[in-house]
Amino acid sequence: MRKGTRPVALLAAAAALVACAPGGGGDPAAEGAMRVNIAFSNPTIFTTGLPYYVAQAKGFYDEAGIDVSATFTGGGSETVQAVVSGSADIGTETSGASAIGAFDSGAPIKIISASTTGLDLQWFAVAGSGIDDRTDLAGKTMGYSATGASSHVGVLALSALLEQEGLAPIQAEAIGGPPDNLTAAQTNQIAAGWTQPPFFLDRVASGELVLVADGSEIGDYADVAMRVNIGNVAWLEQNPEAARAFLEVQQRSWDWIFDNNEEAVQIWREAAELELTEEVLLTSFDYYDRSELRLAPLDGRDVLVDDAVEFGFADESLTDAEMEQLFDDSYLPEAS
Amino acid sequence: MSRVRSTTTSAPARPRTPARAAPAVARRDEWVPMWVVRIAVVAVFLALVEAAVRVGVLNPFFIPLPSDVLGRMVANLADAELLRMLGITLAETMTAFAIAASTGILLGFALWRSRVLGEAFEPLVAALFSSPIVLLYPIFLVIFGRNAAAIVALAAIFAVLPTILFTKQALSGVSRTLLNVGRTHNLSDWSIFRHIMLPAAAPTIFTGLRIALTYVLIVVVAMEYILQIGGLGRVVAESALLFRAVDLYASVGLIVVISAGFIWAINRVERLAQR
Repeated sequence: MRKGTRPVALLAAAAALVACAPGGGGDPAAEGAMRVNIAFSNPTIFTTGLPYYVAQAKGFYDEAGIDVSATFTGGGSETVQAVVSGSADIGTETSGASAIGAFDSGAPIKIISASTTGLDLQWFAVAGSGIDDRTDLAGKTMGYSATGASSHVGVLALSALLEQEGLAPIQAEAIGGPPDNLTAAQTNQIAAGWTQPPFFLDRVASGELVLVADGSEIGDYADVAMRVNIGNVAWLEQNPEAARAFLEVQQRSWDWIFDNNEEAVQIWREAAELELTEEVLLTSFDYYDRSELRLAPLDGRDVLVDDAVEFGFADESLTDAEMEQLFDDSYLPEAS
Repeated sequence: MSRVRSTTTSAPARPRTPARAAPAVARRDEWVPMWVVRIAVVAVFLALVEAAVRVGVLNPFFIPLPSDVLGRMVANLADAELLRMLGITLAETMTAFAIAASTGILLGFALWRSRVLGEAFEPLVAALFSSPIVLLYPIFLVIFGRNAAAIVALAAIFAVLPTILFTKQALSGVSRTLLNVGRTHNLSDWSIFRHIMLPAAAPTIFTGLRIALTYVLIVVVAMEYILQIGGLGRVVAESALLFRAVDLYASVGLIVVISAGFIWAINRVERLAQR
C-alpha cells in the first residue's frame, strides 16, 4: 500500500506546484485574464504578425481581459492542425480553402471571421533567369508556403489560368515563407517564389528580382476572404467571451494601425526584428487598405468552397447546413 | 525436475542435453508457428482499436477504423498514382542502399586492410554516425537541386556509415585460428576470403546492412515528407495536411509493409551468402 501511494502523493504534489505556478510567463497583468492561444504563420508579415505585435505593445489584450500567447506555424493546414489538435484555440490568417478542407474531413473547427479579403500575393523570379512574366511560368516549378495556404491556392489558381490559356501547368512545391522562397529561387531549386508586400520590393527596385505575377491578376478574388480566422469548436463553446474579446482586439489593432502608420511600423520592425527600413515598411500601406483587412463581412464563401473542391482540399461541396455550421458570425464584434 | 537439475550441474552431460531439449522446444514451436503468433498479436491489437473507435473511446477523426485503413490499402494497389509514388520511394531507397552498401563495404574493407587508415578514420566515422547529418538537407538541396538526387545522396551518406563500421568490425573479428587453418591448407588469398572470412564476417556485415537499409528507408520517407517531393513520404504529408486520416494510416501501413519486406529480403540474402 505504501509503495502504491507514493507515486500518487508525488503526482499530487507536482499538480499542486503546477497549479500554484504563475501562468503565461508570469505576467501579473494577465492574472485572472482569459487565456487565448493563437496560431499563425510567417510572423514577420504585415497581415499576420503586425496586429499581434501592436495589440501586445499597446496593451489592447490586457484591456480586453485576455492573455494571448502565440504559436507560429508553417501556414495553411499547419495552422488548422494546431487548432484541431487544441494546441491553439484560434488560428489567424489561415486560408479559407484549408479550413473548408479540414471541416469537410470532420475537423471540429469554425470560421469565425474574415482576415484578409483579396489575394495580396506577389511572385518573383531572379532577374536574368528567363522568367519575366506569368506566361514564362508555364511548366516551371513555383514555391508556396505549406499545403492549403493561400500561397498554395494562389499557385494552383495561377496554374489553372495558364492551362486555360493553353499553356503547361505549374509544378507547385512546398518551400516555406518568403525568405525560404528567395533562397530556393536564388539556388535554382524553383523558378519563382511568393512574397507579400513590402518584402523583397527593395530587391525588385534594385533589379535583383523581377515580379512575374500578382494576386490581383489571378481569378476574381478581389472580394473573397482568401484568409480567415478560425476557432476550435470545443474551445469556442466554452469560451465565447474570450473569442469575442480576441476578435474585438484584432479589429481595434487594425484600426489603430491604419490611424498610426509610423508608430505601427516602429512596433512591427522592433518586434519582428526586421532589417528593412521603416521607409520600406511604410510602403505596405500603399498595398493594403482598411477594408481588405476587415473581419466582416466575410465575402466569397461560395468561391472558397468551390476552390477547396477544385484544388483537392475538400472531397465535395458543402450543404447549406454545413455552411451554416462552418461559418459562424456570432463571435464578431458588434460594430463589424 | 531431476533431469533439469542434472543438466545444469553435470558438465559431461552438456553435449547430450541440448540434443534432448531441442525436440521439445521444436514441438512447442511447431504447435504454434511464430508467424501465427505475430499475426495474431497484430490482429488482436487492430481488433481492439476497431472496437475502441466503434464505441467512441477513440476519435475517428484522429484514429480511423482499421478495417477502413486495410480496405484503403487494398484499394491503393489499383491506384496508378499511388503505385507511381510507391515506385519512386522504392527506386530512391534501392539506389541509396546500393550506393551505401557497395561504398560502405569497400571503405570498411580498406579501413580493415590498412591499420593507419583504420585507426585514423574509424573514430571519425563513428562520430559522424551519431551526428544528425539529416539536418544538412538544405545544403543537399542546393548542391543536387530539389529532386530525388538530393534525397538519395543524403540517405546514402547516412547509411554508408554503419556499413563501414560494421564491415570493419566484422573483418577484424574473424578468428585468427580460422585464418591459420586456411593457410595450413595452402588456400589462396581469394579462397581464404571467400570460404573463411566472408562466412565468418557475414553476420556482422549483414547487421550493418540491415541498419543501413532501415536508415535509408527512414531518411528517404522523412525527406519526402519534409520536402513534399517524391513518393510515399509526400503522400503521408499531404494526407496529414489535408486531414485524410484513412489515407494517412494506409500510406504509413504500406511503408511498414515495405520495411518488413526489405528486412525479410536482406535476411534471405544473408542466408545465401553464408552457404
